[in-house]
Amino acid sequence: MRSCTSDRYVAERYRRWREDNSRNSDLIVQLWEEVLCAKVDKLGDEKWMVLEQVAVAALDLHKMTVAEDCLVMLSKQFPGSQRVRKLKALRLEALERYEDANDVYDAILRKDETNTVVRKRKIAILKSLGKTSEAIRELVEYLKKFMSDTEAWMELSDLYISEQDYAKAAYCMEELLLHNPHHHLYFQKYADIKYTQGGFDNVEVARSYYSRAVKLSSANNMRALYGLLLCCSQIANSPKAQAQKKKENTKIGQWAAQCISDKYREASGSEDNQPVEQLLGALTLS
Amino acid sequence: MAELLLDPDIRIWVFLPIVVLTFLIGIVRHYLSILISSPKKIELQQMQDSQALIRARLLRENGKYLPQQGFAMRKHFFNNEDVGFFKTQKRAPVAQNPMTDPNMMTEMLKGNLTNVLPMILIGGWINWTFSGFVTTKVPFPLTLRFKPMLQRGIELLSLDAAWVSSASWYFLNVFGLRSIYALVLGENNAADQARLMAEQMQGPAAAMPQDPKAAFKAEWEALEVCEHRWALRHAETELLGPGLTQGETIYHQNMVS
Amino acid sequence: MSEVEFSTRAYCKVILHAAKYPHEAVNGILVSKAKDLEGSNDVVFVDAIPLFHMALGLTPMTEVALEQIESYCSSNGLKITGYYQANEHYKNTNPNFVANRICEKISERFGQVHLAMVDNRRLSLDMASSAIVMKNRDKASVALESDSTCVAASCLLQNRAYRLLVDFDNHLDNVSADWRNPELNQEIDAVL
Repeated sequence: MRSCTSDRYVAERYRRWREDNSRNSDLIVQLWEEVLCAKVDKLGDEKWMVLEQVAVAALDLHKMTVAEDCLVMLSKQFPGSQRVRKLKALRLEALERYEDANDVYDAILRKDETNTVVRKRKIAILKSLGKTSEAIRELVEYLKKFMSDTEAWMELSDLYISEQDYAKAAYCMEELLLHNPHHHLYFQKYADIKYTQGGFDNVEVARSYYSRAVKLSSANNMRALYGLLLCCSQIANSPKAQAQKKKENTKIGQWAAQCISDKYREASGSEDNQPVEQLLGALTLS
Repeated sequence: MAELLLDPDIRIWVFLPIVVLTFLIGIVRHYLSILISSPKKIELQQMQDSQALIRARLLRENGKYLPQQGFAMRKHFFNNEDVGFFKTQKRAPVAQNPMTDPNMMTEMLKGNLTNVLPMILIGGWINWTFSGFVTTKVPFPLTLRFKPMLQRGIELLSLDAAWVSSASWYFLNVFGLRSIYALVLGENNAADQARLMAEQMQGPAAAMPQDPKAAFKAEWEALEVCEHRWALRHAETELLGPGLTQGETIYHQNMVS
Repeated sequence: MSEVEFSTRAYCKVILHAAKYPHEAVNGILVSKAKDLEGSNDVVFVDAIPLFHMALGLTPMTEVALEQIESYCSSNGLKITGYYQANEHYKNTNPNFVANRICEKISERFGQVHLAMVDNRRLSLDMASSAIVMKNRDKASVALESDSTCVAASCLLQNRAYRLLVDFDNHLDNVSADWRNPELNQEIDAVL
């Protein structure tokens, strides 16, 4: 980034961020101001997508002048576009003029009922206003119509977690498992929710999902390894577990501890691993 | 097989012109499709139905990764006699004949016009103009089965299958110039043939099948017979292996021995 | 009314953590020197250990982090004496169930713990006063180590030093990233 400031290189990074949908607003605006702003006309057809991306990033950072400049250029090129209109509403949101933003969104929806992005923005406004239960209610209604929207299920799961409704959060997370049955992160997060929910049965379920996450990530997912260790400790120490189960869990817990230990040793060379050893000692069975 | 020596004129008058021609036609196709494309209008209910069907399909395919209760709740949501989605949502039956549906007709026509037609026309013209000789040799060996396909118009039994005619060079270009199009036209360009074909495959799945009633019935039946068999029953054993001790497990790739 | 003091290092790390993830809630632990606490009621936070910026409401990684921090503290003569949190919502400085639950857990094992909330509205590129509010029962007032603490924090923000910060989530993503933040500590000391 410091050495290569060519506009082609920056445009390539922007493209990757668009594809990943990652939120690097700080970096986007910094690169825009330093590199791309003067050379934006060289981008060809990509120019408009870049302007949109920078506008959203600038609104995220509350850099209203940058955002407004981009919006002016976009409005001139695409007068009457619903997409640009949505950006203008986003600007109103950034200025905390939520009523006005809602009016614009409603107008867009009247023209096109199937606009999912705008529907979700309305729910985001409720979230900004701190109206979590209303946001949940609206999101549930949204999901009745658009039940394969994974982004919405993820958001609903997080909202339920913030309301401590772990059972419903787990249900939402299960939707993500259906869409991504081979991705370790979703298994691990589901197990996190189950562990947080607590109770012997839930911790046992969590253990299975952590195991699957460990396997899918080839033991590279630290959270899954730690989670597995925690579950095994808890089950082995629980009065509900019989001798056979205790033995089994101890073995798995020790295996997980060994993996974690190896990962630390690998990462730090041969440095002092004492904090980790102590931790593992505390977490595993005596 | 002795090496053939090609007339250098072939390079100047056949090889390069075909590349340039394919490239320019791709650009023209891109701008043409932008001009004649019309935004697709989807109904809310159509979208709801297609998403419901996707969710039900995923439940059947990947439901085994959910705990028993999660699967049962969703199956109940879709299939229950009284409150299930597929039972309570009534849809009017729709004619499936594409000939009677004007919108679908125009879309098909436009699609064919911009993509398939030019490819066939240009391919045919090249085949007619530059026939009777080999244009280039592909750098990897090919079996004899490729000969009739790639050596149209050259009836030589002993010719190595790696030597191809101009028509096959043209088709190679159509698919090969994708990255050049991406550089010149930016992403999402309509000249990207391979991507378009992939989209056409997905098209029928993404667009609502014309008869939701039949689709719902089919999905209901498929889900009804679906049983839940939890895939994570033996997750821990899979991890450690049955009776394997530490250090020998094949799953932990970073184990220090 | 009692008073708590933030060392420059602790204060800057809290601010930088909040600045690194402006759209997420963040939390972390505040530690003091164990021998300073003996026989004195004043609390001085000498360091802050950033914990998470994702899924604050889920418990497994919090448990792991607390165990690791405990063993780090006991081998370095430190003690966990506080917990900080910056809410996701811009105007909200009220502790939520996460803050209460973690404080309860810490106080069970380590005695009294102070709850510090970051006031997002007071964060800026040049701050004149502390952006932290104490939310314990006695609502202690916040003192900073010196007059130049705020200036140092502002300076670090302008230099985007938060990119150096490693929290426990970063550490779990990449085990070689050190949540003790030795590099950042040096940077903070250099600014002073």
